[in-house]
Parts: sequence; structure tokens; C-alpha cells
Amino acid sequence: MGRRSFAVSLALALLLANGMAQTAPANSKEIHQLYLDDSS
Amino acid sequence: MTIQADRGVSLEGTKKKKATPDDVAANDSARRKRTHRLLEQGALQTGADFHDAAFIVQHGDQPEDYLLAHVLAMAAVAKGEPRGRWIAAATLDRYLHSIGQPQVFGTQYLTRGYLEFLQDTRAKQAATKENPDAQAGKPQAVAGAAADQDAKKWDEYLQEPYESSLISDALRAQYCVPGRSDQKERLAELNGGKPSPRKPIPGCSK
Repeated sequence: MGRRSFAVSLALALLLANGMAQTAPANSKEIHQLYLDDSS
Repeated sequence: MTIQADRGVSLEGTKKKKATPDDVAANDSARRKRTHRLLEQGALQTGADFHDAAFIVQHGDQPEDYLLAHVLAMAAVAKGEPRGRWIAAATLDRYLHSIGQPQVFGTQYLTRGYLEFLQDTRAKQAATKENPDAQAGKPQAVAGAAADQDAKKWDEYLQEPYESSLISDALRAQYCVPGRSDQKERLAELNGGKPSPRKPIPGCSK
């Protein structure tokens, strides 16, 4: 049971992380790139 | 210590090269313009967006740049971005210095020369035109041999003007700003004193 819920949690976490990475708004990516360039 | 020091990369960010002060100024300006455009479009939404924008805008050279950077940092904090705390304090201090008022958190360690430079925007604009070194914080007036005496004002770091009693160390810590005793150690270190380890501020690992 414990192993199964760990696997489900892990799968959900991976799904969430993947979804966040794919849906990061283009504007967020642009301002972050400007920030990285600015900090260099 | 100047914000502008030791910076420089092409705006495209594709290949790092040794940028001239003119390059740095031009790239800073282009990034600020693009950031302003994104703001006008309402394109920045998250705490991280506002944090990033605050850092870009605070590399300006006018009081309005520091004030806007402060407002952006506060937006980041309001949206729960913990990295917004320190930059919110630092931009307020820098804004206060730029308009001739004492800083209140103690985030700014500047030479007297740079402070004067920061406060005199008209002289700064003229110096930038005539001497690219001005972007690194030294107007041409102090570059000549005749300015030897003036050159001393570029050697010693100060926190003044500083109204240090307005904010308690406990409140400083809420903004991830070191307390007064740590600041004094940092100041001594900048002026050639023995380096001392930074004391961590609880809740400020980010």
C-alpha cells in the first residue's frame, strides 16, 4: 500500500512538473532571459 | 561597490565577450525598454516575473528607475516570491540615496564619489557622453592627475547617509537584510579589514 501510494505521488509530481514546464508563459521565459543576461 | 560594476554581456546572450562600458549601458537600456514594454502590455504576472523585472530596472541610472524597481520588487513580495524581499529593501535604499536622503536598511555600501555621482544625474548624463568610464561609476572629473585629492573619495566605502535607527534588526531580517553589527563587519571588510563569515538570516536561504 505504502509503495503504491509513493508511486502515485511520484507520478503526480512528475506530471505536475512536466505540465508546469510546458505551460510556463512565453512572457515569463522572456523576462527571465532578460534577467539572466542582465545578471551576467 | 556599485551595481554597475563588473557587468556586461551581449543582449542576445549567445556569446559572452568583453563588453565595453558603452556596450553595457546600451544593453542595460535595451533590456529596460523591453521590460517597460512588457509591463505596459500587462505581460508580467508571476512573483518571479516581477522579481526579474525589478533586477533589470534597478540597473538604470535615474531615481525613477530605482523607484520603479522598488515597486516591482514589492509586487514580487505581494505575490509570495521570497527573493523579492532583499531587492525591495535595496531598491528603496538606492532610491533614497539617489534623491539625497539617508538609506534606512543599510544595503548600500558606496564611496563618497559614487554617491555624489549617483545624486547628480545631470553630471552623470554629461559624463556618460564624454567618458564611457562613467558607467562604471567614475566621472571623468576624477580621472585626471589634477583630481588626486578627489580620488580619495573613491577609496573608502561608506553607508552614510544612513538613518539606521528607523528600522530594527528584526525588521531588517524580514527583508533578508543583515543586522547593524553584521553590516559594520561587512563595511570594515570592504575597506580592507579581515573577512568575516556571513551569518545566515533565518528564512532567507533564497
